Amino acid sequence: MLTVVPAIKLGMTSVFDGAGTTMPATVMEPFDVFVLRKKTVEKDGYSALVLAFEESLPKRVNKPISGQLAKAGIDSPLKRSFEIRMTEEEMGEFEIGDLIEPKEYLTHWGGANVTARSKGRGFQGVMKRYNFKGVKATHGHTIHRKPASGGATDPARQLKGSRRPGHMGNERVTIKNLTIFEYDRRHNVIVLHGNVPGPKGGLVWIKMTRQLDEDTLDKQHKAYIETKAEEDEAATAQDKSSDLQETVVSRDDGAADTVEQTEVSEVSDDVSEPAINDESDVQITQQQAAETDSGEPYKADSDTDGEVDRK
Amino acid sequence: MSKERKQEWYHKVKVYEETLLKDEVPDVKPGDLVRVHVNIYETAPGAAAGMKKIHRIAAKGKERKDVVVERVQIFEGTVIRVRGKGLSKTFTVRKLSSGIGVEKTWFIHSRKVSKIDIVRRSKVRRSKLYFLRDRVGKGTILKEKRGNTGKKQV
Repeated sequence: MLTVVPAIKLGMTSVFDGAGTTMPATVMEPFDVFVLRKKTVEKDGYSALVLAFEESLPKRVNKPISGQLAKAGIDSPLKRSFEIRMTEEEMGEFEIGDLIEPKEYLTHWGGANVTARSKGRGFQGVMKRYNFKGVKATHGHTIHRKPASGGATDPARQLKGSRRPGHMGNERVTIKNLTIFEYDRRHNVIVLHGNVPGPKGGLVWIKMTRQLDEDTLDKQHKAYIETKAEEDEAATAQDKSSDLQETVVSRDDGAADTVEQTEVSEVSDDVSEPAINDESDVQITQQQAAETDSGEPYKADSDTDGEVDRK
Repeated sequence: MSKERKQEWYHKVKVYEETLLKDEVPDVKPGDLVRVHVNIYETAPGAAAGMKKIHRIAAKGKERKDVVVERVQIFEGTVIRVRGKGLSKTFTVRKLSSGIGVEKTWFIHSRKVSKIDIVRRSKVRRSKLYFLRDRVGKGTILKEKRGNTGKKQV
């Protein structure tokens, strides 16, 4: 199981906790990653799994990575690469050139640290940069937003690391131990309680800090399967209704009235919107079918879980 | 970043938000007399737990019947405000409790609101009925709207 995943920050929203209270949450979209290379103790001095992600234009991929991609037999032009330290035994479950989808491991995550580059604020004063209090605006005060004292007089010099005005933001920031609210397998988004550094569309690194216990996992998986069944039923019902609508449309076409034509256009609009949803549903059903064919995916997952715990 | 990509990210967040909505919520309007069924959490008899602990347990969605008891309380009053849309839609209900005005606001899609009964609808001409705050007794009764009550669903 992977413990680090790169993702795109999509934006913030609010979610309800178990009691129905609203909480701030950040929505992120994890990348699909490909196994690029395995580093071994023999050859590289340490063992790690090298992964590539973020599909791009072929001309944007630099030569070192494109060479490795060719060697691993990966067709898609991936722009970035990173590595995860793990032992050679743990790397056994991965093969070079494999696609690892987020849904294979993100459902097991309970909490995470998030690292990203914060928004740049430019040159800022001490009140914004270090939360200094400042002094009154009136009544004879002249300091206002200035840092006032530069330190004690005894050392007779400016101590290193004293807090002064300067460049703020645009640095690597880690927010620790955020709770994962949900991983939505259907839309491939991960939702975390709280906020995450960086702008919308920025690259963030989510690193797992704790796993879900068996009970919650069991519950989540059951809930997922139940909702899935309901959604599939709804999708099939939609298909039927859309078929009916289409037959009505074809009948209307025979009688060319202006009024009926407007009706037709409305109906066709209605049909086109759910069609997009249908496609996504179909994809998921295919995935599910594949999983059920391979035989009880969840048990297999829990097995890998056990391995990690033992370690 | 291009405008299209920004819209794409925004759209993905909105699509996710839709999964958090309730399937059906009544079309609550200003002037409606409603009975709101509210889920509240209390310390179970015999258990030693403060409200802070109870809310923490409830927030995690755990079932601990020896510590936390969930029950439904009914709040009946007039809707004086409906604002927002989607996940952030809220409504405010006002009632007079032994001569003192009480107002409560809920997110309509929150789990705290288990059910909303619309008792009757009133004929009102504005969307925010703040003028009711200045009225006492008979003045708070609004003129009833006949027909087409509570049948429309959003």
